[in-house]
Amino acid sequence: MQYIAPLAKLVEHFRALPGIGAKTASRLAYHILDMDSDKAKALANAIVDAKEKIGYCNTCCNLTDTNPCHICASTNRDQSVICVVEQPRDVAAMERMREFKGLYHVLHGALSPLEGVGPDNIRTKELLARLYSGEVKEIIMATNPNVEGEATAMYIAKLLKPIGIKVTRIAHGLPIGGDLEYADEVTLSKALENRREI
Amino acid sequence: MAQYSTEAILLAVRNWGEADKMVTFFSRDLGKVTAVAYGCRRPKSPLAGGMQAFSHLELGVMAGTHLDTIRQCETITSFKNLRENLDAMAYATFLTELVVEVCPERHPEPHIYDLIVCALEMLSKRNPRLVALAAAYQLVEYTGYQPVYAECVVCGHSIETDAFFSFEKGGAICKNCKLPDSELIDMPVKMQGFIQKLLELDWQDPAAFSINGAVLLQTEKLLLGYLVFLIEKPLKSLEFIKQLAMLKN
Repeated sequence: MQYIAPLAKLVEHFRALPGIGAKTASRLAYHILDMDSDKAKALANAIVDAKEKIGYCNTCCNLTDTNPCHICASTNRDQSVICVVEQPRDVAAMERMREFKGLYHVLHGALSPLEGVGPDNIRTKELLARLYSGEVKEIIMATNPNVEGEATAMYIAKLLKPIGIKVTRIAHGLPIGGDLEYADEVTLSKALENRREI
Repeated sequence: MAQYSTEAILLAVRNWGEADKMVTFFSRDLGKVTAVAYGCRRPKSPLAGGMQAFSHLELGVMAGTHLDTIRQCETITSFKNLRENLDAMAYATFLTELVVEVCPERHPEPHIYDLIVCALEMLSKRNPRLVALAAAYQLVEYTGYQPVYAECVVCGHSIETDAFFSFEKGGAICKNCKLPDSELIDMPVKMQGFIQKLLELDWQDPAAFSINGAVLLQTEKLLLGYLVFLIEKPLKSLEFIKQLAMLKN
């Protein structure tokens, strides 16, 4: 279908976003045309603001609009524990739990030999730099429980061994609310392996 | 759409879409196939545990026009030891990457399939570097690009002394046939014997052997050079193996 030029441009930009096809892109573009002028401007400003104001925290490499981020700057957090995650959205997931009071470190990826992602492509140097103060006593590896996440956890554990800091791995097992009969063999075996006394 | 079941090894798995994975599996009866596993990144998905690289599975697949969809999976072997040993995992990735590169889509390669299953099993039990080397040498034999080690590819005489190897000619070259400006790598007698041992390695009962470090390096150099010559690009997993070696030093 032939769009008028500004509409075609808008559709094209929406199509470039992940998970958005031609139909959705045109539906979003028409929705924006139907919006109040003020709302459309607010949306455009929000995009520009987010792009301009959000950067990486110099300490934990998480996305932030202040430097250091509010987690690293907080005096109420336990400075001796760092939870290492793959992506900024993993920090958001951990924070939803409201139980972890330590600090984070975002790697921005995981080791993937097949994709050519090596240790130099993730933020391991920044993590090492944080450990020289001597304040950190434990590193919790909360990378995803897949081959890449396991490789990353093992690599960092090897890297930190000479420093003598305790490195722990989050447990793997059954999801709360799930049925045992539908669990796959690998998850069940991990759940059994990581069982604890009650 | 037809549904089919097949026994397969997952060669490569990458995130796709919101919670899905794009999976390249290698089946004994179908060869290399690319399929999608929808929703398998969600913790409650019954596919979550199986859709990991190196898993040996019985898959239930729905054939599609462009891409097949994985609907079910039952684990035969998860090779979980590979995920707990960084070196073994790195060499397993080298082997799976090699299969991805040398095997065409939907072309059954039962010999390569059996070899990969045995090699993945062996990687966490024996020296992974040697296991991967033996598996890679044997794998090249099944690809149709097998080099000639025992005879000179120029004159046809059997090689009994120190010789050379030419990537371009795909085999050994004797001293008499060596051209002065040709790019060859050395293939001493010790190395020829070692290659023969690797090619004859029985995966059901692998014999233990010791090898000189220099010969091992030369044998690796020959194989990797030949692989790069064949697939016309470097293997990504090798860079990772190098970085791991640096960590040890």
